[in-house]
Order: sequence, then C-alpha cells, then structure tokens
Amino acid sequence: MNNQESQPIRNDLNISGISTTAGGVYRDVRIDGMAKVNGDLDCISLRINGTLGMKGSVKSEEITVNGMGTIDGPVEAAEIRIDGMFTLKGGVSCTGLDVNGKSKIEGRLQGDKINIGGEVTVKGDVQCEAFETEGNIKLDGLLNAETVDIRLHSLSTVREIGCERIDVRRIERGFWKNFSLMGGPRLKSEVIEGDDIFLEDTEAEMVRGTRVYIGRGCKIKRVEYKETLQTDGDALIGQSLQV
Amino acid sequence: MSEDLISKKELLDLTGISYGQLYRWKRKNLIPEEWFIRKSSFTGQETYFPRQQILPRIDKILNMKDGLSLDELADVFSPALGEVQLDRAQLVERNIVSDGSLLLYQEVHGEPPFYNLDQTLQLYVLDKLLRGGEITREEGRMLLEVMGSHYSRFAGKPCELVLIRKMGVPVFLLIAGGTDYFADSEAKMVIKKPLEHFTEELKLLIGDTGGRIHE
Repeated sequence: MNNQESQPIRNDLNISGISTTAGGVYRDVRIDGMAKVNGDLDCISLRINGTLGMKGSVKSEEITVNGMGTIDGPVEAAEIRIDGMFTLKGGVSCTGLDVNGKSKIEGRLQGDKINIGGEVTVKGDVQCEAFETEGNIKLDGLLNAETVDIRLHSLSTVREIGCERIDVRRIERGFWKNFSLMGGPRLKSEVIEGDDIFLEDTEAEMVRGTRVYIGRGCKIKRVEYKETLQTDGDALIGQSLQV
Repeated sequence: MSEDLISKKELLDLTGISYGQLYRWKRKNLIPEEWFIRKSSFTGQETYFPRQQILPRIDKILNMKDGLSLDELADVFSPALGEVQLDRAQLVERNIVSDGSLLLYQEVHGEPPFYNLDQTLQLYVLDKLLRGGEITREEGRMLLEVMGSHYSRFAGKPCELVLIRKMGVPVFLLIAGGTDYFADSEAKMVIKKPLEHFTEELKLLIGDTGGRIHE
C-alpha cells in the first residue's frame, strides 16, 4: 500500500557565495555563504556555516548550524545542533536538540532529549523526555518532561514546569562570579509540579509535589506536598501545606 | 456550551495518580492537549479539565494499562485509524457486526475482499446504531454513504456524527470536532456522538481478539 511513488533522486546542494534558491528535495545541503531559500527543504542533512534565510519548512535527519539564520516554517529533524545563532519561527519537532549558541523558537518544541548549553528562548510549550540545561533559558510555556535538570549560571525563567523529577542546582564558582551582569544564578517560575522536586536558588509562586526539597536561596510563596518536605534553613517559604 | 470543569489538584486527589503520570500521559497523547484548560485563580494560573471527558479517560487508562503499553494505548485513543484487514467471517465471528448490517453494507458499497479499519468502522457504527434502535435501515444506508464519501477528509482529526430529523426527513452530518452548530427549532437532533468514541471501542475490540493491526 505504501510508497507507490518512487523515491526521488537526491542531489547535493552546495551554496558558497550569495545566492537565492527555491527549496526542493536534496541529499546533503551545505550553506557556506549567504543563501535565501524560498520554498520547503527536504534533505538528509543540512549544514549551515554561513547565513540562511529560509521561507519554508525544513525536514531533515540532521541539522547543524554554525552560522546564523532564520527558518520561517516548521522544522522536523532527528538531530539538531545549534552552535551559531538561529531563529525558528515555526514549531520544532526532533529527537535530540543541542544548543550551544543562541536560539529562539517561536512555536512549540517537541523532542526526546534536549540539551541546552547556550541561550534559548521558546515561546510555545516544550515537551520532551529529558531536559538538561547549563545555559540560560527563557520558556514562556509549559515545560513538560520526564526529568528536568537545571544547572544555574544566571537568570533563567520557565513559566510552568510539570515533570516527574526536577533537579535545580547552583554551580559552585568563584565568589565574584556570582555577581555577573545577568544577575545572580536564579530560576524563576510560576508553578513547579512533579513527584520528586529538588530546588536551589529558585523563586516560584507555587511548588507542588510528592517529595519536596527546598534548598538554599529559594523563595517560594506556597508549597504543597504529599509525602515529605525538607527545607534548608536558608530558604524562604511563605506557606507550606501537606495535602 | 457551559462545561463542568475539574481542577488538576482535585483530579489527582480523586484518581490517585501522580503529577509524573499525568504529565507522562500528556506527552504520550493519551490526554489531548485541548483538555488542558488554563484559567486564572487566586494562586495565579491553574489548569482545569473537562470533567465529563477526563474522568472516564483516566479510568480507562488505569484499567487498561497492565495489558497494553503506553504507546499502544495512545493508538487506541487517537482518532486516527491504523491499518487492519478483516474479512467477512472474522467480522461476524468477533461480534463486531451482525449479518444484517453486512448485507446492508454490501447493498451500498458492494463486497470488498476484506474490510480495512475505515470500512470496519462504518460497519461498526452502523451496527451499533441499528441495534440500538436509533436509526432505521434506510437511514443506515445514508449513514454508510456519508461516512464512505466524507469520513476520510477528517484524516485522523476528531469529528462528530450528527443525525437530524425534521418532519420525518433524516439528515446525516459529519462535523469537525469542537464546532458549534445550530438548527431550527422543529429539527430534532437524534444522534450527536463523537466518532472517536466508536474508534476507541472498535480498536479495543479488535485488539482484544487479536486482530492484525499494523503501524
């Protein structure tokens, strides 16, 4: 029943210099110069070292960005690695996402394993199995993951977190480094919900969980817990309640 | 349409599931995104669910969890139809449809060598409504026609089956999920059911009896 149509022959697309092209079906796409793509792109691998302005959607097994660019449409890929600067205006769906550069996603982000070392802004919801960050994140939607690991360097905000296990810790560094331009290491959130919660340096309106640990530097307005609540002497908690 | 809502907290208390489970089920699409309704409350934003829909769904997930993996469950709840091939004898043997409905189907569409899930669904809906005494045979014919020619357009999206009668004249409608519609006051709405309902039941029925479901 499936695949009546024969597989298209895939050629490589190499752009070095300045050029505008329509999209299409390719094997390896490599952009070293400045390229503008006006259609959709379906390829096996996409490597951007220069600048890409893309109007359509991208479907690829592997996307690597060392340069910078914008993609207007939705992106579907197995592995995405962003070391440059990238703006994705549609939703992103992938297996793995690695960001060491800076990126902005205006739609929703769905993946399996998301690892952020750089700076990431996501306007939509984030949904994945494992979420790890040592960078700087700003998530405007709900972060829904099995496990969330956040190592704090500077200020990160996540509107809402729902997970099974969350672990937020500060990274020990030199005394003066804690007073960086971005402000001290902090996680700000409205609601954090999960079964196992471990927090440090976190500011939240509401924390709800089964086993909760509120560590040093936390400022939580209200904590609701089911089984246990442990708190550090250095944590500020407005109200705590066993439900 | 005013809906009866249940807060997330109340839901967890009532069903005894944990936050981890709830969020895992959401990720696996066992609970549709649209059911998470955000509203502001005194503690800021709070999530609510439609009570009539979420409670039976959680109940089903909890009861079926042991037999099926989460992915298989997601398949059951998805309004999309997978691939299945059943022949006439299997359909009758497994109690999915009765002979009468099969005959009616053959009058409308002819007899295929085997029935795929789309066709099986038509049969199943027809049989259920006929047996329930909700429609007549003549209306059953109309139902098969409307489903045969239009159901595929919904391509896995939720849709509702509506039967309206006015002065004894029946009209079948397939309507995209979540759409409002109004009819004049003399028209009587006889049936108004989401088709996912039937899809779910049918998939379970086929799954239980070891039907061949391919991804």
